Amino acid sequence: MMPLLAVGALAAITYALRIAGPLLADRVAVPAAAQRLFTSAAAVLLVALAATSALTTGHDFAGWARPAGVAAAGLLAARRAPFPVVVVVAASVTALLRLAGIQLSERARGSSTPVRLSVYRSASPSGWALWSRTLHFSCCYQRSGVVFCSKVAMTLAVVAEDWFREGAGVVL
Amino acid sequence: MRLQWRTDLLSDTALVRDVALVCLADGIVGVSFGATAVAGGLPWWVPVAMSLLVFAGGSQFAAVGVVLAGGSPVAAVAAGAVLNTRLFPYGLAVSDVTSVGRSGARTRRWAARLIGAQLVTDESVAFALRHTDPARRKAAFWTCGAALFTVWNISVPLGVLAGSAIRNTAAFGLDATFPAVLLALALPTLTDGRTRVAAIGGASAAVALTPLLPAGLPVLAALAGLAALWRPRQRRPEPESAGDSQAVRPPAGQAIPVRSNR
Repeated sequence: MMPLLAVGALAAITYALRIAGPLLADRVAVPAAAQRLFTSAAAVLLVALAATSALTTGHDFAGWARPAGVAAAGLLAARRAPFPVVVVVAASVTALLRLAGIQLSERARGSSTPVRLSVYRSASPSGWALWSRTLHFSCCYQRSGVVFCSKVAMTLAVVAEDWFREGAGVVL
Repeated sequence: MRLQWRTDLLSDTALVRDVALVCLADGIVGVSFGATAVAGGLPWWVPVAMSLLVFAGGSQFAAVGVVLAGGSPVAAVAAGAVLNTRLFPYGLAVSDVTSVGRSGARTRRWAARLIGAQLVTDESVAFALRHTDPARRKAAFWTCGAALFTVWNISVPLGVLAGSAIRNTAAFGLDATFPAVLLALALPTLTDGRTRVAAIGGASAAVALTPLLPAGLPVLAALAGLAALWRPRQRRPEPESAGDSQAVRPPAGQAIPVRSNR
């Protein structure tokens, strides 16, 4: 019932917006500024929806596989790759990362352990990683924005530490 | 631009070729829309009915995305409706081509106008606006609009079939196709710097608010990013005209380069 009403309402509003232009064309002129605002509002909504659906599931962080796939696809889209390529790259990068063991999300795994990249599991905890893990554990039982932020901070710290090590190894 | 030196015949085959390419791309969007919607748990008729009645890819994705994230139907309709406000200026821009010609009977003209309105999309308007000659504008609009409507309403049910066939969508990374499609739709519209700033600011706000607000609202809150479009000109015309004190000068001087950026 609800979805039927919602579909009907969106269809009615959309058709009204479509038919209004031809009906009013002789009488009104939309100022250029308003036209730019419509275009920008559409762009802002699309990017925001892309960002939230790439990074979050429900109220939680979605894990790294999905944003990584979306980022790869976004780079290709920005370089004007054909649409099918963009879609296939998004799906396959995400699927391959999951195959490699990067987890979906804490909730999807059905456990209360913090989000971890199993790829990095062998790395001994030190420095930033230890600090942020402490931060995470200190607040991991609150279902609030802090959990989300600490998860992001911890994962970023683990990744950054590993990148730094690899980089240092290359330099040395 | 490219078409200007071509003859009529060549430009018609070029039109068909370009429309076919756009249809191919949108067909893939349609398949992923149908698949995403049913994989997320919506009944099969929701994406199919939306494609027939709403027929606007971006807002269909937006509304379904809000619902799949757990948002209320009201938030879903609001997100879709805001995305579709751009159809109003589109309709104004192509009002001369949505009706089929002056010759026909009055009722026939009205029928054509009512049908033509449903075919107003980003793509059909873009095709129409490439031409200045009325006949060719009309041909471009109706060819593109009718072809897209057909392809869209075939590809979405195909996606519904595919989406209900695949059990574990996460393993195939299908959940990543939805944000990727949105990004690919949005990127071409991010042409000027201020819109880019507004989009990045709005997206950051939406992600930051996701753990706190009920689903569906963070995306609408992103519209606050539009504040980045506000220009501090026309603010104080009075001091500028009356400007006898030096203290008023610097802001007025700063406003000038902003104005010349347009």
